[in-house]
Amino acid sequence: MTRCPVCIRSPTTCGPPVPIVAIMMQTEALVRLSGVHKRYGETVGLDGVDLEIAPGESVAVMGPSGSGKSTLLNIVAGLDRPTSGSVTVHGEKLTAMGEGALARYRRRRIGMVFQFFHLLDDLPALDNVMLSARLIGTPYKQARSRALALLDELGIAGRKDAYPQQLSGGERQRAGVARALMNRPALLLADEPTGALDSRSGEQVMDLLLDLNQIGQTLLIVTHDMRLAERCASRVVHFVDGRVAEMEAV
Amino acid sequence: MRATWIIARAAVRRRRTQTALIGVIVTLCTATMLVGLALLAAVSGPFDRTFAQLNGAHATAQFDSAKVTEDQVAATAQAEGVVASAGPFPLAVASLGRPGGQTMTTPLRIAGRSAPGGGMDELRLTRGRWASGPGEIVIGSHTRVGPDGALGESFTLRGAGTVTVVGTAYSVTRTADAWMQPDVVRQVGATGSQMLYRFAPASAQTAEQLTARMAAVTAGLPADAVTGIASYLTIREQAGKGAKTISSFLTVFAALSLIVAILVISNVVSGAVIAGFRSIGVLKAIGFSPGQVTAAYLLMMTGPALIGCVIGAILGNFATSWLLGQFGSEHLLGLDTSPAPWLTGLVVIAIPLLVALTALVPALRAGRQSATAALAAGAPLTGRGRRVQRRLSRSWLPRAVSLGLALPVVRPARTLLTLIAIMLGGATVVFATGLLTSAQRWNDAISLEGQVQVEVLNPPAGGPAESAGGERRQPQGTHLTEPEVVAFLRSLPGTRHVTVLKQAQVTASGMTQTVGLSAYSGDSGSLGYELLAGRWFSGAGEAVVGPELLRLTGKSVGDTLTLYIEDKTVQVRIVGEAFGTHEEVFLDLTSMSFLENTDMPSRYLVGLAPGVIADQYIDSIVNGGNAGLIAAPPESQIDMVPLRIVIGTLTVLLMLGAGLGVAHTVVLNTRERRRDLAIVKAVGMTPGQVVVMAVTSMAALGLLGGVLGLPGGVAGQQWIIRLIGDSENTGLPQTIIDVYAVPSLIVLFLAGVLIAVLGALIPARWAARVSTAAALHTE
Repeated sequence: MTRCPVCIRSPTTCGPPVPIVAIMMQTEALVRLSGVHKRYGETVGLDGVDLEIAPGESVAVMGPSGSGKSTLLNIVAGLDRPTSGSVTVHGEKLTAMGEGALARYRRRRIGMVFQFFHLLDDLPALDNVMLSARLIGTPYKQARSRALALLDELGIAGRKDAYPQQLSGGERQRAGVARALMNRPALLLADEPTGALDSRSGEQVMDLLLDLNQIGQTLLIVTHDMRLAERCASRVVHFVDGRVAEMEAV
Repeated sequence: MRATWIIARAAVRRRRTQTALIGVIVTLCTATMLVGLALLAAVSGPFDRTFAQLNGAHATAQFDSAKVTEDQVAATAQAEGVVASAGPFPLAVASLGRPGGQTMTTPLRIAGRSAPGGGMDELRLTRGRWASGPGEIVIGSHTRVGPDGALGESFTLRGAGTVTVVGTAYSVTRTADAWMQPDVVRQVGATGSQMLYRFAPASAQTAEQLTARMAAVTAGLPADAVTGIASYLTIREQAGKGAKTISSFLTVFAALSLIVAILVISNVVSGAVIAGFRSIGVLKAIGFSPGQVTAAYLLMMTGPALIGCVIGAILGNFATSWLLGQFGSEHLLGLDTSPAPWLTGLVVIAIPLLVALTALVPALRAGRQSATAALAAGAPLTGRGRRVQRRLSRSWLPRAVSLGLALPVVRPARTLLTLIAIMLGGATVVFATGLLTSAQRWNDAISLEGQVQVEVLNPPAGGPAESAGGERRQPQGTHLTEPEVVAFLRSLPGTRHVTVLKQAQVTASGMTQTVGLSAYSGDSGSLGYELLAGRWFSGAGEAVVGPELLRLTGKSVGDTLTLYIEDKTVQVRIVGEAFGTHEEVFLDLTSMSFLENTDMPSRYLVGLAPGVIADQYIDSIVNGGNAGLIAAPPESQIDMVPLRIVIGTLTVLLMLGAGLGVAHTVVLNTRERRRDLAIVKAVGMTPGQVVVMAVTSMAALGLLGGVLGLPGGVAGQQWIIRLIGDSENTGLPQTIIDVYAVPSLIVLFLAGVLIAVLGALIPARWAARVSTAAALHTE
């Protein structure tokens, strides 16, 4: 990558990467979960989670199926609400927001990358990427220009008019990443971003995430892939039965 | 709003099949709804509307030219209460005949009018043109001219030689039976003149009021100068009776078309919205608010619906004009064959509103749905779906069939919507065919068409036949006595039974108005009246009456009824109640033997043997040497052809709508199951087996829909036909209620399956052609 996908400037002008410890000591947490519980009837999704993520930090969340990883991601994304506890992202308390406010939060503060890409089948790649910018009222030309630049940076500009069904898995995921970066989010959430990809595509996406974090993008990645965690994350949080079992710096 | 518009527009463009289906379904339903509303409007007071449109005459008076001058007749227009008048028109009474000698009509009232318009009692030309000179005549649309109709044909007319029918015209109050130019009528031998009167509406509402008005009009004229007065109320009552039954059936079908159209649209639209639920999670994840999600779905539906609605309104206008035009008698449904503009406007506004409303409920649900749940939609089978799949996979059924049978269980909401669509279509077919059969049997019961194929009249003889100018001048009637006419008719080959009928108006005890009396001699039991209770009379002193008479007098079968005619009193015992006869009384002529010696004309009702053709039998009457007899097929109470056309057209429209609704559901199912279809193809299922799988899932629903829809359709038909009977204050013979035979029920049951299978076939073949590799790419 020659240019920063977040600000579309050369990475060298964005500043050098900041060590994780320095970040944590100097900056207030970007994400703060305090005593978060989530129950689905009798089933416990999260059982009293306390977690902080500093700006510029890359955190991987790992654990067996049903341990609460995706639940955590959905709550931080504002797609789900905790049963109790508080969640604050970028100074905004999600638990106090209504649906409309959460939608605005998702537009402006976060970008989401999904395991199964979740592009809209009715829109070609370019329009999929532009959609989140159009949501916040970015003029068409400006949105298009940025979307093209992102697609170019991610190596799929030539596929901008292809519909999702016509794209390979790797291409779709890159389009999904581009969409997530359109509005320069404070926080990028990735749910098994390489889970549905072949090894080569997965490597490309890992490189992408690593580059993003190196230029300051805060990442929260849910993954089963230890290689991804080791390559892209500065900290791994292990979940078991809805609780943080262990945290380790990588 | 821009982002919402982007999503909605992309969905409409990209999902061409779904968009097209929704558009076509809305088109069909809009057209059906417009036809239904137009029919409802048409059956509402058609006579009054037509009377107002044509400035009908409240009263028509005929004057004897020998007793009163034209000036005196014209002066009656100045009488108190007359607000408008027309005439005097010269009036002649004569029959049309064939050059060969046969009399083709009863004596016609032929009025001399120079033009069909005139500001009052406007005559509406239904075919051809107005008579412009000698040798031309215009026949009233209510006049029956022989068995073959009249336009363009030539007849003989006393005093005019040969006349050609150049047009047919409609008069709302039937002021005359035919029209010619005034000079020509005078040549024919006008013995009278005719005046038409309109009064202030408030003083022309009842028979008593009109009697009083006409008394004022004719005051001062010699007592026997007036030879006849006709009131519009009589025509209105006759028109109402004739139209009532057909209006009831049309109302039912119109209402059904509205209901089914609404249900089909609701079903299709909500199904389409539900099908898009998976996208909700993605939309919410990237920041669409619940309101934006709802708005996107609403826009997706209303766009194609608006286009379909406009096209449907145009088609509906054409369909309505064509259908209403089938009812040739304007009394039945009025003059207007196009829907009123406000009806079209109403439909064009209502349909998109309906679409928006039916989309709103699932769209609101979509907006409120949890994004995570929506993102999880389309996940592998769990719980119920898996259990069913497992059980079916262990069955003896071919795999394609067992997979197809499990499909409906996986998506209960979608399955329910499809089932409703199939039930609607199946129930509609069952209901429509049953109701049409009921209508046919109703008509048969009251018109006696099955039993009487020829009606013969023997008008009073008008003089001997003579030749003039090479043409045979036809006498009216014959010199035959009644028994001689009966013997003659019975002697003709093909005669099965002959009944003599004399009709009169009598007063009955317990009733204020007069009732129709039909006195029979001969084979009256063969006439085939449907009895609701009791039996047909077997001799003097017995009578069969209509249900309305029993209701009005409070009497029942077995009671005694006193009849008053002129200065005579007759007591009879009620032995039966006849369906479809309102307040009429039927008895043997021997109960009123004094009628035999009167000038009251007899009608001869002839039933033919099977295989005998009515037209040929009528010709044999002429060839038998009695051309003075007037013979024609009896008039049908209800012209069933237009009713069959209307009901048939509505049924087809509704079935198409229901069928397309099913197809739409299958398309949605197929799109959702693309990945599963690709997987089964990848492991070896052939395209043919994929078709079997898709069609099986729909056939199963079709069977279930048929099982549920069939009793619904039967129950609906029975309920409605009873309702119609109640509205006409009559019981119904069981043959009109129970119209379904077991074989026909089986066929109708299979209609539901057929709708489902046909609706599934094309999308199923499309599913079979899905590229496996491309489909496995699908998320």
